[in-house]
This record gives sequence, C-alpha cells and structure tokens, in this order.
Amino acid sequence: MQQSMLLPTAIDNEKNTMIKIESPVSGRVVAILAQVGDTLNPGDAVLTVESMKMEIPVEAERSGTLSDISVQVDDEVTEGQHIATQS
Amino acid sequence: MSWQPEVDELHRRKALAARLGGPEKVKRHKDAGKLTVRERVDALVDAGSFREVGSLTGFAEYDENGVLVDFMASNMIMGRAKVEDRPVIVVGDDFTIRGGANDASVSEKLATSERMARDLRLPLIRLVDGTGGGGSVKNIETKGHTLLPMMREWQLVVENMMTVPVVGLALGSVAGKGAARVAASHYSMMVKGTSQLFNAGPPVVAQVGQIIGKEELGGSHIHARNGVVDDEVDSEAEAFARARQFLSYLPASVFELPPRGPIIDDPERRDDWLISAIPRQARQVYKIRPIVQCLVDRDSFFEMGRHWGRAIVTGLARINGWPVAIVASDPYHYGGTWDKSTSEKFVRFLDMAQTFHLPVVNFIDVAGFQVGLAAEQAGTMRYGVRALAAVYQSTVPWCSIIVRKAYGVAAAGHQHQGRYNIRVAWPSANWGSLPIEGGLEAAYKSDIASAPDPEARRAEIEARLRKLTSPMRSAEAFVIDDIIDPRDTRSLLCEFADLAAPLREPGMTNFGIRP
Repeated sequence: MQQSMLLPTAIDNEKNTMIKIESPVSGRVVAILAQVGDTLNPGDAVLTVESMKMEIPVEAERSGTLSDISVQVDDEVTEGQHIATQS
Repeated sequence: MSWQPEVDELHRRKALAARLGGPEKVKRHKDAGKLTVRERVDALVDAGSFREVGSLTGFAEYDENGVLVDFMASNMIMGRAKVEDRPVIVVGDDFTIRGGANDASVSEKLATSERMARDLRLPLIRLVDGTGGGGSVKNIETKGHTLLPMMREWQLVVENMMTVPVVGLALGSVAGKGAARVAASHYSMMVKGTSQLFNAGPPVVAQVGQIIGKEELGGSHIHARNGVVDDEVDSEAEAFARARQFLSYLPASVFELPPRGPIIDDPERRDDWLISAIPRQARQVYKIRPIVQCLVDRDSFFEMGRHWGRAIVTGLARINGWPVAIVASDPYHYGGTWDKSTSEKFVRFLDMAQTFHLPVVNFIDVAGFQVGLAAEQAGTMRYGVRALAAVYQSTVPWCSIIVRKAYGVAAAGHQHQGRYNIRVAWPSANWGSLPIEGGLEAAYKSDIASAPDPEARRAEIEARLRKLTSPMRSAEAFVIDDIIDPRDTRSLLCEFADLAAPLREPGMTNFGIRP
C-alpha cells in the first residue's frame, strides 16, 4: 500500500476544538466525579447516572480538558443529552 | 504477422480508461478527501493481484475511418483479486464519471460482479460511491418513456447473502440503490465526514419540506448508531484494513469452513485480574470488552457494530486459532437490558455466524428486556421473540458463560435449550424469572398487605429469599452445569473451540419463519 493513499482521508480533528460528552443512557445524575479544569483521558468518568438500578459512569471518549458540566446531582438526563464539554 | 497492433490498441484503451473522469474531476474528488476507485482497489487488495473484468467497457469516439480517437471508461470497475492471498471479488463505483450514477453497460457489469461471487463462491467487496441506479430523470426524455424499478440483480444480492461473505463500504454520498447495496451485506462501514447514506439526498428531501445538508441527513453519526451500517471509521484506509480483517475469520463461501488461524496464545493462560473483574456491588457496572479480549486469543477480537444495539458487544475472534462469534452483554447500556436495537443486532450477527459456521460464545449478563412505557411503545417484545427464534433456528456449536445476571425471557434465550451446549457460570452469577425487587411484591402481595408493618414484612421476606440466591445452591440442583473460577474460563473456551471444530458442517442455511 502506498503511503500517499493513506493521507487524503485523515480527519481534521483540530477543527473540533469543542468535544461534547453525551449521556449514553437516560436516568438520574447521582454523582459528579470530575471538575472543570481536569484533564480527562479516554475512559475517565465525568459523572454517574443511575439507570435501571445500575450506576453507569459517563466517560470521556477523547483526551481534553473538561471545560463545562451542564448538569447537577439529581438532574434527570435523557439518552444522547449533552452533559459536559471538553476543549 | 502478429496481432501487435491490436495489443497496442488494448493498452491504449486501458491507458485512456485509467484517466477516469479526467484530471479536473479527479482533482475535485481527491480534494474532498477521497481516493479514486482504482486507488481504492489497489489499497484494498494484495499488491498486483487485481485482474479486471470488463476493462474495455466504456464510450469510444471514432474518426470517419473508424479509428479510435477517445475513450471514456464505464463508471464501475470490477474483477477478481486476492486478500491475504485468498481470492475475492471486488467492485467499485467511479464517482468522477457521472457522479457514479451507473451507465447502461454498468447494469450488466454490476449483475456480473454479483454472479461471479455467487458462482465462483468467493467473498464480495462493494466499494460504493454513488447512487448506483442510473436513475436520472433525464432518461425519460432520452427513452421517451418511464421505467418501472426492477433492480434485476437483486436476486443475486439476496442469494449472495446466503452464500458468500459480503462487505459493503460507503465511500461517498450513497443514495437509493447505492445505499441499499451497502446495507445488504454482512459487514458494512461508512467513513466519518466523507461518506453519507440516504434513501434520497437533500434535493429530494427539500421537496418534502426539509432543508438539510447531506452530512446532517445521512452522516455516519446517524447510520452507525441505528444499524443501517455496522461501523464508522476515520479513513478509507481503516475501512479497507477492517474489511480484510473481517474476511480473515470467514470461509470463502458457506460451502467451506472458517479457516483456523495461527495458534499464538497459551490455551491454559490464566489471568489473575479476572477473579475481581465483576464488582461485588450489584449496582456497579464493569467493562466487558477487556474481559472478552483477555479470554480469546491475544489481539484477535474484532468488534462489529460498536455504536448500535449497545446492550450487547458482538464481534469475531479466534480461540486456540479457531474463528468464533462472540456475543457479550454490556452493562453500561441500561444494565444490559435488551431494547429493540439490541435484538436486531443480535439477530443480524447470529444469522451471519450460522450462515458461515462460526461457533458462538455468549457471555451473559442480561437483566431482561427493557421495561416501561417507552419500551412497550417501541415494540420490544416483537424484536425480542425474533431474537429467540434466531437462537432456536441456529445449529452452530454454542458455549454460554453466565458472568452475572440472567433474568426473564431475554435471558432464557441465552442458548438453544433443546440441544447440548457447554454452559457454566462465574461465582458472580445470579438468576431468576423475575428480579426479587418487584417480583417479591407480586408474589407475596396478601402476606405483605395483611402484616401489621408491611414494610418490615417485605424486608423480612426479601432477606429470606436473598439467602437462597447463591448460584452454588442452583448448582446443587444441577440448574447449571458448573460454576468455575473466572481464571479457568480460557481453558474451557479452548476446549470448546477444539470440540466445536469437527462439528461445523459446510452448506447453506435456510432459516424458517420468525414471529
């Protein structure tokens, strides 16, 4: 495989300086685990949502600094809801 | 006198065809971050292995003496090639010519590519980049009449699903029949940002009152999450690498068996962390992917469909070298309760395993179907009973490992109960027809209601029942074959894969009706 063929499809990640973190499930926020300003790596938990009697961590998918958490403990969230932001 | 002049003309025609839609169209295509169709074929298959079929199809211009002056290739190329030294069929649209909307000769080339895969019994890889139907309304004027949609090659598309591995890649904006050819496959992918898929594109959608861009309408963020395609990838190169890896687990057709890979990992490997992989706290979840990756042969797990049907993780892997199909519950998605999308993903994946004779390993942590109004409105039970039917229509060898919960109808479908399958539990397992919470209130209703302190009575009954829920008690009654140390799981799986190998039978699967 020629190297040149690998290049054109590289995705420009620089464009997306804001990374949205969305809740993967609907439920109730039971704990906030990270603080604005924290550096998060993929798999680091931001908060915990209780759903179907389970405590489900909502995790960063990419590396970045946590710039905003838009929910509080006891808030109801829906699946796909934007609940925090990394930059 | 030799035929050298004709051979020279052959070369000339092929050189003209290699220009594709011309430098301007090719530049625009590549500037949009995409490879040309010939670059795609080269990047996908083993170097130098592509043997084109129909390389001379196209539109020629001649002078008054009948001498060729120009030639524009047909906008679909196809042929035979090799992937990891195994023969395959590859077919790709050329978007630089008429936007990949197929010209007349292409309809027969398309059918031939499908027929070649079926009759030579070889895997088919479709590189789709266009509408593929040739359905321009301009044709009405050209022909003087309108056409009834037929898609005559669809019989082959359907037969190929039953016969050979089919990979569908969306590599640009694909609509109509192009979109259908991507979805009608065993494994499909879209490239983030540079591919979109829709029933019809933005101009048609605008006519029904939705003004929306192509990425918003049909980007991979939509279709890798609803299951129209299995996965999204970051680049075309990644799509080709994954297509090659996918095929490595599968036989060339249903008339062969999945090839054993190299034996690179110790079948008796025991990983200590597995004994604490499942949290003792019932409400706490755990990551299933590292558990699966640890139990199969090193680096052999190939997940498919990560972003849809998320209550299960599905993928291909090797155990002691043997290709297997893995299903594993993921408690991160509503505690592993099954929704409509999970049942659909399970059926799609299990049907592929059955079709290509892959033994199934099922890691179970199923709290049941999703409950509540939204789950009822979504028709969860319809899709759930179809999943159960798929289990009972399967004949491939099967091994079930109950790692935690097994509750209700959804968990009852963890394997075919009418034939022998290996089935063990981890010490963290617990099970029942109903969860104790809720089930208890129903079963002891009058007992609780008539007590002087109903809440104390309820708590007392619950404590009584909880004492009986150890899986060891079930094992005493042979409800479960055995409870094993999680660290011994790989050894058992390797024994299973060895036992399953001679039980695999080549041939075609015909599925019965499903509810």
